[in-house]
Amino acid sequence: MLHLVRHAEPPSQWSDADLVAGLRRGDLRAQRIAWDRFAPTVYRLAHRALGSTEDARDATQDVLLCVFAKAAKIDKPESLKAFVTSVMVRTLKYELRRRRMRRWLVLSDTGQMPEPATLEPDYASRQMLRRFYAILDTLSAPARLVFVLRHIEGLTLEEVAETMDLSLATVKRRLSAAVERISAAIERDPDLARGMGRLGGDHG
Amino acid sequence: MADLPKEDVPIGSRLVALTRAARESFSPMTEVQQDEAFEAAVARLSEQRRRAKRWPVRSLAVAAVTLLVVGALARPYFARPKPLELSVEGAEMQKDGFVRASPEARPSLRFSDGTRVGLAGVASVRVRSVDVHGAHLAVENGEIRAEVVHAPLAAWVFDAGPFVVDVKGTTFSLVWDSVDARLVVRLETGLLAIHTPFTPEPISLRSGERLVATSIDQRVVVSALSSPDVEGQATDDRSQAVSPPSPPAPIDSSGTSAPAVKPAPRSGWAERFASGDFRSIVDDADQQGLDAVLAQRSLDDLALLADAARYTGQTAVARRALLSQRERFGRSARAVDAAFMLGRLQESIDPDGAARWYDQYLEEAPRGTYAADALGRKMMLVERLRGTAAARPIADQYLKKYPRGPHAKSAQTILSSGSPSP
Repeated sequence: MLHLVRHAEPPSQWSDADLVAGLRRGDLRAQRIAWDRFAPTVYRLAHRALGSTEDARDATQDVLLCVFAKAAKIDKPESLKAFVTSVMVRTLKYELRRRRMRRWLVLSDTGQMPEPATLEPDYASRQMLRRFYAILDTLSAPARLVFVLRHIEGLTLEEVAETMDLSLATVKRRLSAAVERISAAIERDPDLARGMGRLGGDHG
Repeated sequence: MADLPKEDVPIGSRLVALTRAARESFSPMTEVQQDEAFEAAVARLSEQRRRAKRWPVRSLAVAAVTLLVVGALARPYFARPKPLELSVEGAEMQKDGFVRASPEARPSLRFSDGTRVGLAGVASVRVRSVDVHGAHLAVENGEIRAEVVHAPLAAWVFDAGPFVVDVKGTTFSLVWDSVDARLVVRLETGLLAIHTPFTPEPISLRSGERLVATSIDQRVVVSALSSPDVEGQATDDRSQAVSPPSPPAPIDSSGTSAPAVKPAPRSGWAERFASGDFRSIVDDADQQGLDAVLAQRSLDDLALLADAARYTGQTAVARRALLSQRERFGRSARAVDAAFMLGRLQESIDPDGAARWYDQYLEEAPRGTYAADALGRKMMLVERLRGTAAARPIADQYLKKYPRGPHAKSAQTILSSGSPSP
């Protein structure tokens, strides 16, 4: 039976080896289980890195489709998660670079990107986050990802290094530069400074 | 070497607050959004594959034209490859290409690549053509045994009445009874593709398999060579070799025992579905006439068509295929599942109708694969249509039955929202 079955089998019952074998065959059930297993994490990180619900959904789809298409390249089943992570990092870097390119080529009247469709409940918070992500937009893709993984996603430095496939020293260097740059930009932004009270950060 | 910070650079409270806000702004996808995103991804994958299939055709066309031009220019400088040489042993080849066996002589055709075709009994074979990569032989009657040497571009064709056997490199025997219009192919090694006038796609025969095809009643039987019973049917008792009419055999996705009988015609939809080529299934149904397909195709094919139509966004076709499953196949497991699928299809256009389909499914399969999802979706629909108070009993029922189910969080929200304060 080739129906796309949701929750037909608990994902935990599929080992990574089963999943990789199924993905190599193009088995839809395996794709569904891989989706359920990895998409939430990919979506969360994409959302935090990109600051936009729509872009995060697109990126999630790109990442999982790439995993489905390139499953044959997974050497060892136990490296499935690492493979997904590497595809995710590559996709996010690509998306961030594409955005920067787009900013240079097609600036809006205000010189800013359209407002991301984030899900915050109130307008003031949304404005703060919008300005925050505008600052993040000035970082290079790797620097931004290092910052997001460490300070928004909450990974340890070692985990960031592993995820980004960088040395610990490079992660520290990039993180230091990113924090310095973001902090300076926040200080220079009077609107952001004024609005910080709402977010509980008015005494920094 | 530059000094490296030993630990994280401490971040100011403003940045801490902003990163916290960014963290808290995130809402995970709901179950419904997850489903929709996955289905959109599957549809996109299908479209990518469809385009990828076109690309080689275009590339090949360009390459073919290029080769033709280059070939024409280079022709004077290169000798043309020579066709295979053929010698006939044990008989003489007549002017019209016929080679005939007799009780006294069992001739064989020997080709310069090492391929050998032996004639048995009173077999008669006509050599239609011989080229660089193989030959085209017509078995007029009787039995032959062929040992075809495998080569990368090898292309051998054996005609037997209306049947055509494509060969790359195999050892097989072929019996063509021109009186009864009956073909028997026994494959010892390799792989064969056998084209018949009554199957839309060639039938693949694998090592150790036998095919018996009769053109008068348009039946094809494939069985294992090691199976003595079927051997008897296929060779000795022709009246039993004909299989009774039956719908196309289900494709067993688990890969377990293949059916002994491969009925004709096979749709090939299962293979296309497995490869993600959903659009071609729907196109195929359109070309054959949707009414006829819905009225005649097997339950498996209807299920494949319904899924393929759903994934390509053709909900009207999907709906008709699902309804046909229910009408024609009563309360088979798949027809029961169709009730749930019909609910899914109708959610956006007719929520009331969708809720009724979920009720129907839950009545027919209270512990079915989709039971938790059907109850959860019904709960959400009722909340949307009639408000939280009306959805509360369903939420309560849901949490009792599926406390950790996919809609448990929504059920808890329904139960907690608007409840009277103590």
